[in-house]
Amino acid sequence: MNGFVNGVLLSNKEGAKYEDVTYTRFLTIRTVNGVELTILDGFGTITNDIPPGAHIECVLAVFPAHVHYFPQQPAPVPPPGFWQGNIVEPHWQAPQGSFRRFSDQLYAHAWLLLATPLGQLLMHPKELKNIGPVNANGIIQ
Amino acid sequence: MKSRKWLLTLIAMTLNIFLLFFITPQAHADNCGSFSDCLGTIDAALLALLAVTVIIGLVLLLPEILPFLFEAASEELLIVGEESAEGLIAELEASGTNFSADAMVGITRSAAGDVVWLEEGNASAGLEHIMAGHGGDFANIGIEGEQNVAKLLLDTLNSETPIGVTNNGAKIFQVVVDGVEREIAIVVGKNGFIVTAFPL
Repeated sequence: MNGFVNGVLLSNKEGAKYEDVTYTRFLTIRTVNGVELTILDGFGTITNDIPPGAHIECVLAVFPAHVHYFPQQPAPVPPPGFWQGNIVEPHWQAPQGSFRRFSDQLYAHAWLLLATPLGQLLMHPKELKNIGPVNANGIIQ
Repeated sequence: MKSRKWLLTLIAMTLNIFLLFFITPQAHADNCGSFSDCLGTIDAALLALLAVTVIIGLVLLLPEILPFLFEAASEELLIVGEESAEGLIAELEASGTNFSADAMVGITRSAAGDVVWLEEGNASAGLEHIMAGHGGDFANIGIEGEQNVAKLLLDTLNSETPIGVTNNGAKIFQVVVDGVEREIAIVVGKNGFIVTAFPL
């Protein structure tokens, strides 16, 4: 276990499919703390043969519509609909050979590594374009 | 929809003229054994005239009363770029591409020069799939409703060059939505059919 989101796979369904080619999949997992998450496997269907019931640990990337950054703790309580993560590493690079299945996007660039109640999540650095440099221990909402 | 109303109006006028100038005088000339019989026949003809007018009026009003029944028919094909839809569709036909003209929502030529099109589709591919699976994600970045999503996809394919391509062939584009730079992934089938799309 690497501290990423882990849980039980509840369902693994085809998403986009055209002329016998499956382009995306939708997975639902129940995390160890009981939260159900729907995940899009959108960059190469790396989850084709994982059956429901399997225990999996996933390196998930989040693509939020709006991001707020607070350089110091404590941050204000997130408004309804927002979640919060602590910055573990502002320029995290996925270690080569550490993951059994992966999208090429994982190694395409450095990521922002966040610690959340669900487990560690990745965020694309482009989300911080209007924010500027961020520091470890800062908070993202 | 406008042309349909003109057609219905024309039919209504023709029927009314037919009843007014043909049936009513005929009834008066041929079927009147007595004055009271004659009045009854004319009344029936005038009643028929009224009924036809009411029916035609209701048909004309139906799109206003039940707009959802006519929504699909009133939607026009979205064409992005300088080329005509007819020309682009003819190109698809000439290449032997399998497509449904009736289900087509929009069509354009991509920046790479290929004809690409969006169909209403189904749960697995096309606009229905995109809205069901990713409509909420598009709404989160400010693109709400089928028409706006369709326009964004066709505009992007028409004018933008992808900044990346993923394992499954999804092309990643950078777009500006409400002044904010966003990235969207669009999957286009080998034949130009827009399979799916989602914001990143």
